[in-house]
Amino acid sequence: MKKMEFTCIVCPRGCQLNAEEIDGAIQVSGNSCARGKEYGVSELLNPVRNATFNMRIEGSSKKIVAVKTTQPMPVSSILEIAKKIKRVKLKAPLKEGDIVCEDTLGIRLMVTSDISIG
Amino acid sequence: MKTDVLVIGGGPAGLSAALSAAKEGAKVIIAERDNLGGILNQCIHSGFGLRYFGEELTGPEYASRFVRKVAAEKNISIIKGSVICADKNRCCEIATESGYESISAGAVVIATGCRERPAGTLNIAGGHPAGIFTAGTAQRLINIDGLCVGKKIVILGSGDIGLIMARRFTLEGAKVEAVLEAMPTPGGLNRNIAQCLKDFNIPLRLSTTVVEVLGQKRVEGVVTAQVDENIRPIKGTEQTIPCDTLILSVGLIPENDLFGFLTLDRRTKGPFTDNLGQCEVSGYFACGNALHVHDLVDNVTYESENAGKNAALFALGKLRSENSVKVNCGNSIASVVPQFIKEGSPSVIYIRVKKKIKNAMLFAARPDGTIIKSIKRLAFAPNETISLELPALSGISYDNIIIDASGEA
Ligand SMILES: Cc1cc2nc3c(=O)[nH]c(=O)nc-3n(C[C@H](O)[C@H](O)[C@H](O)COP(=O)(O)OP(=O)(O)OC[C@H]3O[C@@H](n4cnc5c(N)ncnc54)[C@H](O)[C@@H]3O)c2cc1C
Ligand code: SF4
Repeated sequence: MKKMEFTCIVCPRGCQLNAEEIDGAIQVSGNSCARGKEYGVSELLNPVRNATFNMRIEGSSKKIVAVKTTQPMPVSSILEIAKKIKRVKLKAPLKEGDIVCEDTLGIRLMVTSDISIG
Repeated sequence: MKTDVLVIGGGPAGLSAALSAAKEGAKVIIAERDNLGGILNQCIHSGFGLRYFGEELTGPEYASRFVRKVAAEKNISIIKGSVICADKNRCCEIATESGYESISAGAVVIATGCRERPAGTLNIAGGHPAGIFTAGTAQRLINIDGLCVGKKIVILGSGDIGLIMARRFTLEGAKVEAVLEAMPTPGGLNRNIAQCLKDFNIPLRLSTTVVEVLGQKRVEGVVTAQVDENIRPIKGTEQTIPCDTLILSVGLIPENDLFGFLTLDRRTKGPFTDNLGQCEVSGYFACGNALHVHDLVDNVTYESENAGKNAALFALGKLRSENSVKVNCGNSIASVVPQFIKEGSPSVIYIRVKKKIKNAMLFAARPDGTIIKSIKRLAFAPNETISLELPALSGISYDNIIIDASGEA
């Protein structure tokens, strides 16, 4: 049985949520709206986040570029991704919005700024 | 050189102020000593623009949307240089690579951002070994220069930058031993506590500070102690945490050194302004972190659009002068911005409470007690800025309003 107490961060009201798995169904209490319930369920079962990472680049005066996940990803694999992409070097030029490392654990990463050659 | 509006600083505040001033038909110059986009260039995490754009952007993405608009606006020109002096008559000197430039402006917008409280302002025993950084410096070294700052980290201060850096260090492969906070409540947003600390099991120790730094050449550890309600260390509670790096995230101060002729509000450390963004000295406007430290860039943008627009109207001789009322802080309020409201225009008041209040109501009232506007929430806490939108006041027969909150401790 999973059980968690936490603050809802969907809006500034900051309701204190209780989420609990009872007989296979998720019960959320303490929320004031439907969005809070949805958040409570996902936090208990599979919390997801937008994550950003620094990646090394070759062929530019800039040494690194920040990439972000195109969709919220499970918290549980953020550290694993961070470790994997540490070994990868991207090649300049890059444009904001370019997708890189598409095969990394099924997560798509997107470049967040333009990187020119030299 | 002459211009209608001079904007000092090209961060999100300066960019938005310049765009809205240009929209009013003013000729605008932005003076920026570094890169357009300001502090956002090093804030690579996402969490920007949820309110303004309705999507979650990273700092550089949020900035580039405004930088592109500025580049396309023919009424805005950029001077790369540092403003080194400014006077009451809106004459400013800018040091550029090709020498000095004097600019006489119809209106000046202060958008210089803030700086970090340095290590020297803390009273910590020990020498000055390498490995002590402010959070913002560490953020720049890691996210812009791509350098590794340390492997075993202790962070002092739970403001947003400290929390965000705790996560960044973790993702870069370092181990964050603990985040310490001298106050009994965390300084940063709940969102950041959840996503930066809890997600990675980083311990947050409240009512705890660093009393000594160990190590000669390089930091080898820190001695922590719990503190009493007066933030004084309690003897006998000392603990040693081995580490090679101490990160200080102990607060930001609005950057207003250039403007000695403006009196600063001791509560916000920024200049006094009215709801048009106007300072006490005529023709000066202020917005963004130079005015008060913001936790959300979206609010910086809204506030700066207002200041930029009114700066343009002032420079073009279209800003009418109206009566104003003072905005006073009640007993539960730590600070308010703006501190004055001009009749005839709506306002957004940014408010911080002193202590956590539960089942709370926050209100603006006239001196006779009549409530002008109120909002209710389960709780108001000192770690968030609350915005209260007030309708335009008209026909006022009083000279101040009070902002206060009521509820349970
Ligand atoms: C580490 C950190 C993390 C943050 N995280 C978030 C977040 O997740 N979500 C969110 O919404 N907000 C966040 N914020 C808040 C938001 O980024 C800031 O409130 C915002 O960037 C402030 O904008 P500004 O333009 O006032 O200041 P800045 O961005 O600091 O810009 C000021 C500019 O003025 C220039 N300048 C200063 N003095 C002079 C001079 N004399 N001459 C010429 N130029 C000068 C500087 O070079 C700088 O470029 C964060 C802030 C920080 C510091
Ligand atoms: S439950 Fe609803 S009202 Fe409460 S904090 Fe979450 S989103 Fe806001």
